[in-house]
Amino acid sequence: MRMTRLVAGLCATLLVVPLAPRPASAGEWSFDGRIVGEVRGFPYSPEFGAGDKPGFDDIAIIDGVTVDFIALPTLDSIKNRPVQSNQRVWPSIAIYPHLTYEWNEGDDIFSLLPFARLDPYNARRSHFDLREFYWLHQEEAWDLVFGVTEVFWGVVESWHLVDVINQLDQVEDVTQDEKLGQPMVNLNLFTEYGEFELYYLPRFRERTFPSDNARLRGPFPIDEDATIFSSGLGKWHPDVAARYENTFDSLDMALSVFHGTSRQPNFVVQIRKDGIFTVPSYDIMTQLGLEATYVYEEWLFKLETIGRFGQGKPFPATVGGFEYTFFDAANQGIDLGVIGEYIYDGRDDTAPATPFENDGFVGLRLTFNDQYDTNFLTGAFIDVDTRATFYNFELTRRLDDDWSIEIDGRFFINIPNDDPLAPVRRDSFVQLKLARYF
Amino acid sequence: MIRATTILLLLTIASAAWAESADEKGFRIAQEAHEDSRGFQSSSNMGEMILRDRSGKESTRRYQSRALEVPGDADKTMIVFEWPRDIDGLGLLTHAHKTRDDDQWLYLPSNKRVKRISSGGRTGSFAGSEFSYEDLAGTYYERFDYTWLRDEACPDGSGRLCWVIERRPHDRESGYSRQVIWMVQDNYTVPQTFFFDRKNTHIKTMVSNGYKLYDGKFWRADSITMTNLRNGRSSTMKASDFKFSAGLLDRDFTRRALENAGR
Repeated sequence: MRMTRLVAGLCATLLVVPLAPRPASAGEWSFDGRIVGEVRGFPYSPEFGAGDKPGFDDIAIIDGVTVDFIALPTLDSIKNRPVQSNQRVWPSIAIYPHLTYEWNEGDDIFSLLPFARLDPYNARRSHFDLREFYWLHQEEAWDLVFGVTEVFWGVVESWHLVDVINQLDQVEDVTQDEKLGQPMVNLNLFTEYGEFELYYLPRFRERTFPSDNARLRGPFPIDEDATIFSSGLGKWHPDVAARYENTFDSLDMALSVFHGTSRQPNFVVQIRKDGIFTVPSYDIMTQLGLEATYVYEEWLFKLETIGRFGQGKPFPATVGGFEYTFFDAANQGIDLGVIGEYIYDGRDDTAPATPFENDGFVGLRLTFNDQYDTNFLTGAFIDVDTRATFYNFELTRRLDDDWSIEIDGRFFINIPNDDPLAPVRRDSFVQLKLARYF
Repeated sequence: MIRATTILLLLTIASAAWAESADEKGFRIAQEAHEDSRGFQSSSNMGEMILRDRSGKESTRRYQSRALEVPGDADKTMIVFEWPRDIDGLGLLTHAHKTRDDDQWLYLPSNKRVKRISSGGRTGSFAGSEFSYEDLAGTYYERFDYTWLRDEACPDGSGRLCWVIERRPHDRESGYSRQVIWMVQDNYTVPQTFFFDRKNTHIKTMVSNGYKLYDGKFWRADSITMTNLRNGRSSTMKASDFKFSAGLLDRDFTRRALENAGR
């Protein structure tokens, strides 16, 4: 109901504003986008497949998860427990059409970017989202974004801690790059003391989860209908955020604060008559953030630090490191970047689990500087204590003006039983994406 | 007595002119050329970059470009790509500086991220082309030492007279030991530049064509071609729709402006 009202309000604004009287210069429409075919291959059989004996020992593999015993499950519900399909190859297709309208010599921009994926075997991954649906108005000393869009905060390459405005579209990928559109009113003020960003976020977006038959899920089916909000306002808790950003010669820095519904859920395991389920639970939390980048010749030094309050005991977390680039390495025109970062997270069992508490990250970036913009990025997160490793690579290349290709790999290696990544440790995969631009 | 003073004065002036060394002459010309190019306040233009590989296969990038004069410092520039579509919105913001390293940011539209990048990337390729960042942004005149070599007919066959000047970058991280530029004496345009690597091998040649005068004051080339003698590839930058005194402000050269330009 309220969503309808918001959308109606947006529509009214967007329709009225372009029709308002304006100087002679007419606006300009543009439409483009891409269709992406994707194939994912999983080399290993699933963790929770048909052969997996149903049992309560699965609960033990996640540390710090709240178990809520409501009733003894019926034998039938245990027997008919959903299992992961042994399918190894998962095709799907996604579309990203983008419509923009610019007027007032580009000072006003309207953008509409819906997104839809059709995944024939993973029903929850077949989904639709408005990635962008906003009006941007720019003045000399301020600008205003009204509508749905994506905001990125942060500087590091490995694990983003400060970035908190958008919910992750987790069914899209296991990296933090795919996000759901966030409804917002965002005012940015440009002053001689730096830039101030103010956000009002009227509606929360829930994290997306895969179907029960699919990979990359937890030990028990997710029951999204039972989702718990610590605020009585649920998804409609008005979240607020602010950020200050400035540049001092070679130093970029930003301070931020967020108060509202945590984008990262806690999980509650409910033992009920109809089976054992995982229920996402969202707390109201406050997060303070610091970002800094310092440039020295070919070096970049980066730091992100947060303090989070309201999800269990207050805790700090930090990620920092360097990136060094060898430009035109070996006179081959190729730029080689070496990335080293370290992640510390001070949370305990009372907060949502993180896979990276005491982890090193080493990465390599190869920019080939060819006609096809060939790029290769690879990195490994290695747990200092357990040597549990998440290894990741991305290779992208343009084929011609209309087509481009991407090959990604995500690998979970040596993941021990008590690691938050344990449920997905057999879900390493390789994906191939072929994009057609229009 | 008066006559003697005058003669003495004239002699002093003449010897001062004579005493100008080849290095001083080179620097003076570069300074005059720089000052001649000032006063556009802000400018914008459309650009096209054509990349050619060894076999002659071509690919094209299109972009919008804008620049702002900064009193007391080097220019601020922004380039935002439009084509091919997979890099639509990709942008590069540069705050160039007279003496210290430039500040540079890259905007990645796919995840709406503005990223500080290392300005040490002077020798890195610009957008996969044979132009490096320093060819485009690192040309502020005070960043070089100069030697005037000779005067000769311009290599563009126009019959005009050119100064041939060698310039050597102060920057030890530069990819070049020296550059030789041919500068037209009438209007300070530069039809040809040779680039020499650290081993003093002639590795690249830049040729500018179709210089036109805008607003009665600003000479700009229609196309600039950089040929890499080492790998046989070449890149041509074509510019059009020049606007000078374009009314751009400091606010149009911020990180936020880079993000908004890429929408």
